[in-house]
Amino acid sequence: MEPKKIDQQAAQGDILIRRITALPPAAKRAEPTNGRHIVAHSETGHHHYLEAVGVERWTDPSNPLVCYLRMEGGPVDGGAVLTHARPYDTHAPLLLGEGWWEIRRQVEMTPEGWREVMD
Amino acid sequence: MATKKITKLTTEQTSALKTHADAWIARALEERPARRDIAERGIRAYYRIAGLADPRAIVWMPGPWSSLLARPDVARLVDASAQVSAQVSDQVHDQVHDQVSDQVSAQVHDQVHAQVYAQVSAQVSAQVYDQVRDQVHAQVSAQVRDQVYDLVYDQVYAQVRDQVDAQVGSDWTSYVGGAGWAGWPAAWATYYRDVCGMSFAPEATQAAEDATESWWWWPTRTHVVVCERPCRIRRDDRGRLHSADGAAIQWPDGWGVYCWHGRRVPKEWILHPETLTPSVALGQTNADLRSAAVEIVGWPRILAELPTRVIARDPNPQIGELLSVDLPGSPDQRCVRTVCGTGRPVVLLTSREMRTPREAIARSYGLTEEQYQPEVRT
Repeated sequence: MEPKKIDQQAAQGDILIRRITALPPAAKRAEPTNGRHIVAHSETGHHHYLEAVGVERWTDPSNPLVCYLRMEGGPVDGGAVLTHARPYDTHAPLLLGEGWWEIRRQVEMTPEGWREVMD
Repeated sequence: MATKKITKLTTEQTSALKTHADAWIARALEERPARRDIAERGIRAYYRIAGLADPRAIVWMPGPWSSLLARPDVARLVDASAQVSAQVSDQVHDQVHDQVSDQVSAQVHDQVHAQVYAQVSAQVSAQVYDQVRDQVHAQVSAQVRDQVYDLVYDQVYAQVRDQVDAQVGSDWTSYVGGAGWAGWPAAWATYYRDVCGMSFAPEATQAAEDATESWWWWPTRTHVVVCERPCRIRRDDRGRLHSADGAAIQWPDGWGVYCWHGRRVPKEWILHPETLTPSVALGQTNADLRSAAVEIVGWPRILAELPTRVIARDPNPQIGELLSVDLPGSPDQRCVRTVCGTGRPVVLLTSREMRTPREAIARSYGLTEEQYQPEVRT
């Protein structure tokens, strides 16, 4: 599936990607796992991830629903492809260009309170 | 051994790629009993190629669930007697339900699956890389292996494996995939043999082809437990497991997996859809299951059975409409009915403060309506 290049903002399933200009001061660098940065875990294994080439990931200790990416010298136009690992109803890949990006997880308001959307 | 080296596919060979892949997809998913003589011939060839003694017994079981439960009994019975007969299967079947799954790992020992499988794959792979240029094999891999992989492994096999895995956990190990693994190496190895007229690793290629006649098989040094083929496979127009009137895939022992357009759902939702009420559907905590439940129930039924009210509607269908639904225990529950980037209907629960569906979706990401401006949704 050909990735769609995004300029400022896009949604891939239950995550939203926004271009930002700087990293929040409280952010902490996170290491990849098995060569990949998983930006949104799924209980069913249908993660949203990027290959960790030319990609740095940062987390916000105060907000587990947000993380940040820095693209520099990635394999595709200096950026990298955000992939949804689900064999069916796959959300199309997105190409994130060089610079800073914010990833937001979606939540919903249930009778029990706000919780992450489990897509 | 090599008879010629392929550096480029001919027009005829290229046009045969899809036909060959389609034939393997259809073959892997045929609903019929396995031709056991062919499957066993393939399995025995795997042992021979791996340099192992012929298995003393090949025991067929009528489904993946019973196969897994039977493995310790088969091991015990084979160990107890070198004269294993067809009665083994009956004895095993009688005892299946008395077993607990944690016995499997302890009792099924001396597994040789890696040794058995690796030899055939290694022989075929080594030959193809010697005799076919990388770009040709990349083309064949993409148009044969990956196509079969997508529709057989991803859409069918993985769903079943995951369902069994959820029931027996770590005992779901040490197997060879049979028809579910048709994409590797049988489908592409036979392409080179049947379409390109190449003759390499002929015994390994034939073994790989024969062994796709069954589904899973579990090899050990003394015996093999083999799972029959499914007797029923139902898929939607995108190749995803789907059935509205029974198991989407089922084996002769009755065990099966229930799916709604590729999403595994509780058996009761399919067999007794009357039990899936609108409130049960909307109350699902997993969005995937909830969207499946909503599709099964259908919005007409939800609207007919529950008090609902449209609060606001956005002209963009990917934003949708904000509804008020009276759920048991949660009156005036607000939800956004929209479609996701794949075109799938999605219901997103939200709070009563929301005034528009766009505001509700924006809030679900922790943003204001003005901040939520995606240029694309996938």
